[in-house]
Amino acid sequence: MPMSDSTIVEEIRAVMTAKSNALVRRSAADITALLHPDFLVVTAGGKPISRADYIDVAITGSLIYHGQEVRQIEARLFGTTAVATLLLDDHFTLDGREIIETYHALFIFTFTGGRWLWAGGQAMKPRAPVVEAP
Amino acid sequence: MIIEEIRAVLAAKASALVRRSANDMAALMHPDFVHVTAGGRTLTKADYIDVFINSDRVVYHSQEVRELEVHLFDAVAVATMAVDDRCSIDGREITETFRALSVYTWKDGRWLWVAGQTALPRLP
Repeated sequence: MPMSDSTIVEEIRAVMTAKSNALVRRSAADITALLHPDFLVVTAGGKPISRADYIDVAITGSLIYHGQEVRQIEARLFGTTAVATLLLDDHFTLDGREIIETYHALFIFTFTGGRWLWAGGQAMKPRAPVVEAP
Repeated sequence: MIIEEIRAVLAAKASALVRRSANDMAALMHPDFVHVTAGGRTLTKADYIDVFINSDRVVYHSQEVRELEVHLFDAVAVATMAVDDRCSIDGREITETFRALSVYTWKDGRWLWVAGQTALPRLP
């Protein structure tokens, strides 16, 4: 298992790149292989969704990815789990509307069976920090 | 039940916020803590305590957690929830509901808060 921060960041970056490729290619099999079975993610709309829900929305649904770039990855290791903060530059079409947006994400990865699986997290579009809640 | 243990940590955190107890809050947080605010700002443990406890700008009156869901990955728990906040910022009263994700690690017989993100949901 990788231990240095820089190695973990590169391994997480590789998982995110594979995820982006699977989204753009609309490969349910490839994205399934990257996601933990107990996956839980909160969408930018505030909805908690499971692995099956995520695949329904992002691969087989009306959301079509054209590109997704990852920036500013920082990762912290807690045992066999990595917690990463990052920026996602998304380019996708939703119900025919083309959207280019940057999201802030907090993602969790778990080291299982000799590789990192995406276990879940939350992505959001920052809103004016009139209120910042813990 | 893990969910009840996490609920207890969240209640202790809300109590520390309202009582403005930096010591109690620090005791709940991992030294390597990271938090992303709804405004997209990344805070360390020291930053978080400065912003939400020590600063005169933010004063919490209450914080309630609903719709708590917890998934366990080895010794790490990932929790999603809705958070009803009532606070004042620069003297203005604010009542707002956030979506939050929090991460906890089991260390020395208790759950420590290691990371979190809050968001005001917005559809693309």
